[in-house]
Amino acid sequence: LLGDILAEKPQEKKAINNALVLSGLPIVDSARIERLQVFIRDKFLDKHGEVVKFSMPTDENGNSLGFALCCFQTDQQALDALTDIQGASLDKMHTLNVFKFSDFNRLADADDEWKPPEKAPFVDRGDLRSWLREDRCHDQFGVLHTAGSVATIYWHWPGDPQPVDSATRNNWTESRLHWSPLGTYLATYHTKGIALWGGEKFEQINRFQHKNVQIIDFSPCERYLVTFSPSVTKEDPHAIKMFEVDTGKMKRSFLHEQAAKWPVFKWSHKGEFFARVQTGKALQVFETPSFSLLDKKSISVQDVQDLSWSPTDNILAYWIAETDNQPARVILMTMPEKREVATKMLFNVADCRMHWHPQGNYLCVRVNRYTKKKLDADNTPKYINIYTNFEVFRMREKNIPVEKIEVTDAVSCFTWEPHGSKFAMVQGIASKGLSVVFYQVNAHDIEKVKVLEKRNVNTISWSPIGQHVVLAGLRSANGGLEFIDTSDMKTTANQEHFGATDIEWDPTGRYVVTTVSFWHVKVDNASHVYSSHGTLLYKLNKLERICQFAWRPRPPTLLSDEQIKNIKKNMKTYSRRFEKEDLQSSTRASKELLEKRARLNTEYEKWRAKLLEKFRGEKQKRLELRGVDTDELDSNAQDFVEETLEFPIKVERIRIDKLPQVAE
Amino acid sequence: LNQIMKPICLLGHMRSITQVRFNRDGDLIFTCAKDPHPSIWFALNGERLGSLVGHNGAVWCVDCRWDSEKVLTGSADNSAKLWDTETGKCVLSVDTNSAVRSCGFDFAGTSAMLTTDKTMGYKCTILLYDIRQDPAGQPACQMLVPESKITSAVWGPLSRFLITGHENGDLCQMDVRAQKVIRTEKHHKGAINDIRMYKDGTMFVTASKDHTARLIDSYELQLFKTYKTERPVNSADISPLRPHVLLGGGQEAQDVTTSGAHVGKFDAKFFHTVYEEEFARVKGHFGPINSVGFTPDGRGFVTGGEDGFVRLHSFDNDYFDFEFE
Repeated sequence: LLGDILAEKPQEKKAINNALVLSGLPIVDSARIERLQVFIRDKFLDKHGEVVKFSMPTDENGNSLGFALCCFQTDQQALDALTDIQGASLDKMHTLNVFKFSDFNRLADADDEWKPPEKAPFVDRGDLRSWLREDRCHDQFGVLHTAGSVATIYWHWPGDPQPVDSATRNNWTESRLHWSPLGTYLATYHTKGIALWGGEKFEQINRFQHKNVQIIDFSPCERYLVTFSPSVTKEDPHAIKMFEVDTGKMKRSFLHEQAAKWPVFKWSHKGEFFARVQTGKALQVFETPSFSLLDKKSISVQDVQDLSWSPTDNILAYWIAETDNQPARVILMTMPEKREVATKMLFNVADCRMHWHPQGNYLCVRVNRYTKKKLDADNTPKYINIYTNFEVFRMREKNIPVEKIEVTDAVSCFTWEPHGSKFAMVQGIASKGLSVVFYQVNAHDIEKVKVLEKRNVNTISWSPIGQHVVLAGLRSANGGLEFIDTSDMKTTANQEHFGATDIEWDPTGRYVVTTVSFWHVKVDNASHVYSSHGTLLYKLNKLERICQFAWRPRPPTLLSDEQIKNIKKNMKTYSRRFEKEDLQSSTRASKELLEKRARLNTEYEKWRAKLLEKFRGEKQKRLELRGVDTDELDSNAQDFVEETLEFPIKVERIRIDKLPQVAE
Repeated sequence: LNQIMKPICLLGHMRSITQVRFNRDGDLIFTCAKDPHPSIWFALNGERLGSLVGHNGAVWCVDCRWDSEKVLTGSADNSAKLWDTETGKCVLSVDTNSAVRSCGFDFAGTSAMLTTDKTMGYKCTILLYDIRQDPAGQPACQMLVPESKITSAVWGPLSRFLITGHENGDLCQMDVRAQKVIRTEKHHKGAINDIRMYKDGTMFVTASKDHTARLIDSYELQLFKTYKTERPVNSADISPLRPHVLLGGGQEAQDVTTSGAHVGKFDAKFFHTVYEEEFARVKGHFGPINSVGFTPDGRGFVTGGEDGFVRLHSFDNDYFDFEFE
């Protein structure tokens, strides 16, 4: 059809997406203009691709005007360059300001007169931390249920969770609920972007536009929000957006370049830096609040594979793959100084994974090593006989010594004990029987403290305060839960939540919740709440089709270690006071329950009374229809016929050997 | 409730049980299953009185007349039969266009109602027969149900109308003689699998695929209580003696292999009628429970399961004294 043919007509490509404008350049005279051009191309442009056109306009005297235009061969190269050189400084007085040529019209049309921006009216958000001041220090949790169409926030009053006022909403989120790391905000997903809710009544705090957002990440300090939306075109420069939470402004956006694991950008603990790896090439460390590269350039590292921040210090750990003439390496570097504080050479490395201790006390690098290496037809390496080494970096000791543990079995589920010095993993293969092995990092060695054999476990879940751990077999592994106190490695309880798909500790380490999510299994959707020792406290099974159960996180305690020690010492006096309060509240609860039941009973009696009135009114009719009164079972007792039924209970056979002789 | 009530197991059916019913006096139990021979048992000790031979397909429903003299059955062989309880002889048989899904004697015991399934070419139909004479296959009146088919039906108080539960969760009052729908209410979100009247007929309980059972009044179909579970509810009954409701259910047939293969863990659940709280479970069946019923004196209950077993329980003394604090 004509319409279709016209649609296929090749469109003229407007070649402006590969052009950049560089401004903020120094003004130089005709003598030095060529040197400036070479300098710009050399230092900033050539490394991003082929510059097909470069122009530095001059005035009538031959002096430069302070800006230049360049065209790259592909749009991708132009975008790469833009990301990289924006904000780079040339010298003390000049900083590069780069923008896309396609933005030119927008900027050119800007008003000549500067109009001061309107002052936004002050919106009192209230106390965003109000939930922490609840009388009895109860935590909150969010439940997404009714197949995802209703979300409710509850106060966790053990045994009787109460929904928070006005926090049961239909279609609150279109996919899942996401709490911010310190618990201040609840993020919900929508086609248009993300919304943040908080405060006592969960009012909307802010909205962040990102069409079809799929996944998000917060900086640990909650100041920034990173969102990702898979785009139709590969060159969407806004696939990853970074927003400032308080103002709602987008600070920076990025292309989604390679298939990478989320989060693409990893944050330092205070949100001062975020970094990503350009696999095989470089580390890109950005700083906030400028959102530009630290020192205006990437850190070039050949063959770099992955990076990871310490959760408590500004130390970046990254590892480099082995090449034909160089072994693999793990390097720890401080930021922003970029000083190397530890390096470890590793030989025969197939792969590495970094696991930081939650308090930053240790870094464990899991190294998959091989005994033989072959090259495939297309030159991809194939590794034979893989075994695992764990290199433990002791971060708090001078010079960061490294110690090694070797494991020959297959390994999975490596986890550190929070606030402790143990780590655990699952060893073995399912067909031969899995074991869970616990290690302890001591002052001078790493000791294998316990091996638990024949455990069908695929998840190791530590309490956030350490010491207690749950070994769980989630999803297809039948929901077995083993609660262990690692201070003496004794199992405190064995439970089962058949079909459980998720497990989560509350932020204080008092409760563990296992959930059968509707997203994975369509029947028996419920959440079970256990104490830290494994006693089943209650089940949340009255909500239909529970999809997600999420505890609200808490900010870290403000108490110093000294204060915590003191409280533990004086536990007895505190316990007495709390026990009294508990008793009072339970009697209050039962009184409320009794009142509620009394009310329900009176309502029911009233309803029944009305029905019975109708029933009695119909009695005459009933007599006519049946001829006898059958209202009660014995109403027609006069018609009862007595019948005796005999059922043999026992049959006995007695053998008579000889009949007694009858006397003649 | 921590009693151990030893049940009597009635082993008479090779296929899953479809319905269990008591007669008004409570001394006879009627069971029908997906095999063609419904059985009658003595409730006293579980001994079988006999089986009704005549159907050629699964028997979906059974009802006993108020005077215990006659039994009515409806089958997937497109027929309904009237039997003499004492002799087991079939005295009347009517053919229908499709499987008979529900059946019931009216209050006086002179009429029988049948509902038939929707199949190719035939709509779901309600049929009323006068059984005082041989109807020769002709219903006294009938009514077509155009939309969602009937999945369960009982007579209303004084048999002035039928109360029907439908596949889409609708609940209706149907005056078949006047050919009109008196009232429709939508309390359930899924098919209504069973409807059981309270002893005086003023209220009834519905069991639905939407994981709930509900207590509703017969005159205005007003919803009063809801009992929530985690699985589809196949059957429910109201105790004639205590404020208790019994629910039986299980998961859909296709989910059986993916969920718990726990032996004997399909429970009959007891709820408090007024507080809507579950307070007891009785295990024992090896598959979903398809039909439940209290004994007419409220001193026991019977459950029939997908496993083909019928279990007759008697409550021990604790049950009658049990109170919620």
